[in-house]
Amino acid sequence: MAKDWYLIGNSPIYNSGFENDEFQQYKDSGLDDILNSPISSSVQIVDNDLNVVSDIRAVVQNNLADTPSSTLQRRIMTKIGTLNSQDYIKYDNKIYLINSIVGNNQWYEKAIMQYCNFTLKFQSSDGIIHSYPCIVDNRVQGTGDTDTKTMTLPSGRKIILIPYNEHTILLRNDKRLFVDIHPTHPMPYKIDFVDSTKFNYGDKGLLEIYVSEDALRKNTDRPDLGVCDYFNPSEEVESPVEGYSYATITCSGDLIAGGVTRTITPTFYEADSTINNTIIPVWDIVLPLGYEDQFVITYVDNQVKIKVAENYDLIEKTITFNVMGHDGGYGGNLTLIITI
Amino acid sequence: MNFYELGKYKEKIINMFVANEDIVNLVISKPDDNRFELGDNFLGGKYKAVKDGIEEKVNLIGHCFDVPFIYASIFDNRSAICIDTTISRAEGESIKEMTVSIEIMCHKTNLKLDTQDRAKYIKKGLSGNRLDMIVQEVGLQLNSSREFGIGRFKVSPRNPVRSYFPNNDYFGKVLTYTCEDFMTDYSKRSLYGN
Repeated sequence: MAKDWYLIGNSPIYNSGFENDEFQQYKDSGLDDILNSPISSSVQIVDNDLNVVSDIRAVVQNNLADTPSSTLQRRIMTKIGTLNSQDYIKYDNKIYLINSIVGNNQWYEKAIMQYCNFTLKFQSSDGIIHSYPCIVDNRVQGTGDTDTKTMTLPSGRKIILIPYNEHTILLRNDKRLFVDIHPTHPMPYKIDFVDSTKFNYGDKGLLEIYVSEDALRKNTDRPDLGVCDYFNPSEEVESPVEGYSYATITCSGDLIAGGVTRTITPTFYEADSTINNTIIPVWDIVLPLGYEDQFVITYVDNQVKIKVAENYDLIEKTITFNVMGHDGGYGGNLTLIITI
Repeated sequence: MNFYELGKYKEKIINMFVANEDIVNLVISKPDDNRFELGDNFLGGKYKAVKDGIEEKVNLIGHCFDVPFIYASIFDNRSAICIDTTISRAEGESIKEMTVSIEIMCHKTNLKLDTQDRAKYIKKGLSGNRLDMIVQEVGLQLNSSREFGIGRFKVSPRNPVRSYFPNNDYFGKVLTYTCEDFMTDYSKRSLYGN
């Protein structure tokens, strides 16, 4: 049928006679037709974990670039109100990051997006490892090495563009990150400077992070997890015996021979794991045999204060703090090793 | 006079260090490549490892060097010892004074020992940070040794231990020893004979 030749599916009712009105009437359906035509593509807006937030149709331009660097950038055009600065776009099985302000011409909106060439991982203070696709560029000046008479250290420098949010804003000076795709010996980098204003687009935006090459710390860096300065996340307290009240005990730090006074604090839980603040603790402290006079112990409210004498024979000896509620129940204990 | 001791002293000292478990353990907080002995990690060099029947050549950077510098670029926070020898005085054909410089370097992030290691070494009678402890262990190994030259191996009377900064990331100490040595085989003093 001849009517199938026409792209515009449902012609608007048009009877005002003014061109402006005609344009207004036709622009949305016209754009729909373009977005459903072969010059458009299906793209997905994804979050930093690459979960799909929404499927959209968009025209993606600059696929036929003339220089290697311009192959990394694309222009994306779609319906107004669809895109946001710092959105991740999955297109052609690659992840792009919108690194511009999104603009529109009253008909469609357009943004610049750049290919994410690296996925940055870091651990927040609660122990969770976050992962963000990002744009990494290098800013090496000279040879990328620092030579002294004694040794040569790498001194590569990079710039990372990453969306601004409540997690990434925690990336501050001296935080260390792997910014390398080597499978077994990736290079760690240390943050020198974070520019949070250059790409600040209001409630959305990007952080520009300047990093320089740092030394691998074999004891704490975890190339297998992609995280520098890894630490074990703290675990939630669980009832030692289900159905019974219990207590947990915490110490304000390591118990060091000759160190500062430490505070031992109990927390009492009901069987349903709710905290009971009315319990008066009864303490039983087991000190190393033969060294009982090497400790100064005082009781302050519910807490115990303890100071260990500077006697290196105490190193690796243990102290056990047992606590119970004054009326029984709420039992708990903590064994600490004296260290240095 | 010949210069045989310039190399021989370094060999002897490196052999003493690699045989001293405490020095090796203090210098290497974690092996660079645990497929090889800790001593191999300490000395560095080219080694072979076989996995699934396939031979792999591995080049370990090492932690102890007979030159006053580290050959390769350093990508981690390793500690290192560099040894150099000079002849600081000569008395005629036979007697010479050897001076040995031992540079011990620790990355700033590696100076502080973890609690367990610190407790272990303090119980052994050492004190301070990792660098202090390596210096003490080296001193225990070399001070008054009878392995070198005439009499005992002694610390230099002037600035025997001094601090230095190899670069912004490292801190170190330089230990200086002196020792009198004399020629025992005159046939080796020169190509031109006695």
